Amino acid sequence: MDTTLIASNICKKMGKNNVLDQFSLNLAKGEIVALLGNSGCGKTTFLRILAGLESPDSGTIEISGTNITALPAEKRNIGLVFQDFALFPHMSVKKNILYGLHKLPKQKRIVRLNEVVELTNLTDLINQYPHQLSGGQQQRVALARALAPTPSLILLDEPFSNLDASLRINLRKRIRKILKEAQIPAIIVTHDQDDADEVADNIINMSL
Amino acid sequence: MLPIIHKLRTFPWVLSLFIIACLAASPLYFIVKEVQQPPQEMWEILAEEISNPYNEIGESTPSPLQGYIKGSLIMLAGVTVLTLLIGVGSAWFLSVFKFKGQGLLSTLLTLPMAIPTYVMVVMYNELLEAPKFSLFLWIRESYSPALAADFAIYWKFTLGILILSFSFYPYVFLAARMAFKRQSSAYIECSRILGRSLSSTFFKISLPLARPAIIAGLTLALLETMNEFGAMKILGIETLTTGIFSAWLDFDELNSAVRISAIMMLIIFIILIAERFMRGRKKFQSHRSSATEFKGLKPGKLTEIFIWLFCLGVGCLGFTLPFYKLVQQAFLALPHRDLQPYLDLIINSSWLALRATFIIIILSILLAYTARILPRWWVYFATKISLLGYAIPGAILGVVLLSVKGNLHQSTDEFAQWIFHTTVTGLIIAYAIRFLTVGYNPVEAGFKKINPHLDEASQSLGRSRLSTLYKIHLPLLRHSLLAAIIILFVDILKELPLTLILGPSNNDTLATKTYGLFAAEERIPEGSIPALILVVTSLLGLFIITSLVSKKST
Repeated sequence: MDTTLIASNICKKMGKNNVLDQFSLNLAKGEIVALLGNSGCGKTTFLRILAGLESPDSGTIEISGTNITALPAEKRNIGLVFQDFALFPHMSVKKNILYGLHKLPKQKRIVRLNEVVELTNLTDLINQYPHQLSGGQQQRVALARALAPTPSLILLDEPFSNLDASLRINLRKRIRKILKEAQIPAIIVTHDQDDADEVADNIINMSL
Repeated sequence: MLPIIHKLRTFPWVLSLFIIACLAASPLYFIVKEVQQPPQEMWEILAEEISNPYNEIGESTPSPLQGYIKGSLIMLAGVTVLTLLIGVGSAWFLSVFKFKGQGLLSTLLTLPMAIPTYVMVVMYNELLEAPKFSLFLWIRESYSPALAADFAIYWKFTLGILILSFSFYPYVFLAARMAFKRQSSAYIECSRILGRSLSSTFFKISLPLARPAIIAGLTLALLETMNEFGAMKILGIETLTTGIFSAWLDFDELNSAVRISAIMMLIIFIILIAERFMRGRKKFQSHRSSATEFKGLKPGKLTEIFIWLFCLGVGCLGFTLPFYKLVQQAFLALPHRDLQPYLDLIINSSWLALRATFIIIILSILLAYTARILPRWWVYFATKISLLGYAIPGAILGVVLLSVKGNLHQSTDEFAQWIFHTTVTGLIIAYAIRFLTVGYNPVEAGFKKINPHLDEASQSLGRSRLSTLYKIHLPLLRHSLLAAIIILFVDILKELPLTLILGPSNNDTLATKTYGLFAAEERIPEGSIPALILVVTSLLGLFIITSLVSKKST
């Protein structure tokens, strides 16, 4: 199998704590991996390092054979779904999704918008504003927005922690289905064993 | 029966609320009433265009009134552009980047608030006298005297706009900085992950989200611009405010002065309505990222140098340079002066400001507490009316109260004399109307932070409203109250137009003394001494408030 992501020997200190110590991870094309662990074990930090929001003290990150360790966040083409979704409150669902498509020519933007909207089943909500949506809907918008620029990798930070327990079960399957259909490899950070079991192909326990 | 008893309990609060609201609305009522009177003699001269028989095209010279309006509008436009550029720009740099010395720059950028405009303008006149003169001569020699006369006009308007902008941009800066700070870091991070550059993120995300706060800050700056008298008079720029003064002082026509006030209030209402409109109807949920605070990006070397130059430049022009000149001037005069009169001046001004502050604090607590125990739409409405005074320029309030005094004069002479001539009662009433919002805002914010369950607990333990206020709220409010007291004290100490109009003639304050020495007598070094006292007091107040705020946030 082709590998998409190779993160090797990532180290990160926060103050005096060794948050990440020689952490490595490989990800195959289209694979979904769950990072499981208690809070404070460095899983969110690892995601932020992958996304380029924080820089590692040492280690390298390669995507499809290119070293991206020094690239700034906006040049990495990695999608990230925030724990609290971080939808821009002054933009409609449509505008939120279009936001990352500024590099495409105009017509292609609409085509891609429609693809993503269909994939995430948001067609009816496209003109709504974030505050008019339920938690589950907001999550789908966040996912659609991250998927829209066809990132080479998508990262989900505790995607279910802000949602009701009853919603979770439903959404796990749905998200797995969307990710598989989009054929984009993903890393999901969670502290919930069931989340990991349901969504991911492989599970890495970071607490160990 | 029971509902009536309940209503009776809140009656004293409601009654005082309505008395305050009526008092605050009365200036507007008097303006409307005065305008309906027949105009006085000079009004015609003020308002009518003068046809010029020597002008072949038949153009007429604009009336003085048109000149006032034009002057005010030019100042408003200039201040809008510059305060937005300086205030929003510096706030963005300091919010998005993280570098050493950031706190220092942030403090420096708030310091211009400590220098009253009428002091700043005199210091800049001193600083720029020589270059202005040689430039003037050069233009006259190499071009024409007519062009040199035009140059003098451009010079004073440019200097006026620059000085007001450098004095008032902190309103925009503070509002924008707070708004950027409150924005979730996730928005900026998210935008960057979606491939947007930092500047694109600024215009698409941060700026639209911060717009309501920025517009509110800008509105304050514009209201201050309309209120401005001292600096405009010293520079010789004619605005509606200086027009009110000349109608009253030069022509001795209060009715004409009130008419100019009416036009001015019209412009102010347009500004306030525009504010509502620009803020937009949509209220965005404030979204706080639970996970991470935005730590700020590390700027590149060139960017960092640019930010330092920008912020230091603004700080130097707004504070360091005029402050340096002020200290220099004050020390020129200091050795030759007897200091006793200045001590009297300090005591006199402080005592006046303290009394007014005390009354405004009481009124603020009353308003905020009434709204807390009776959250009804009409209470809210009456509170809004009570706070109208901040939009009424000091010159208007002063002139209106003078004409009220004229009316009182006819009925009860002694009473009017007592209020307006021999005591400062009239002045304190005017301060209360104008500065009520300044005291109310921090007090109300403090009340909002107190859990309403505390009120209910206190009530269930058998305490009355008043006793709950005294035993529970006031102790919890002490930081907010202290902040309100300091802001009020400093603002009242610096206040000029109201104090000039309504202050008893034997009762100089630091502000009127400074202005008198600067404007009427042109004794700059002597005037610099009370000015320096004013500035140092304001600086002290500013530092206490900053440390209060930073202590609270930890």
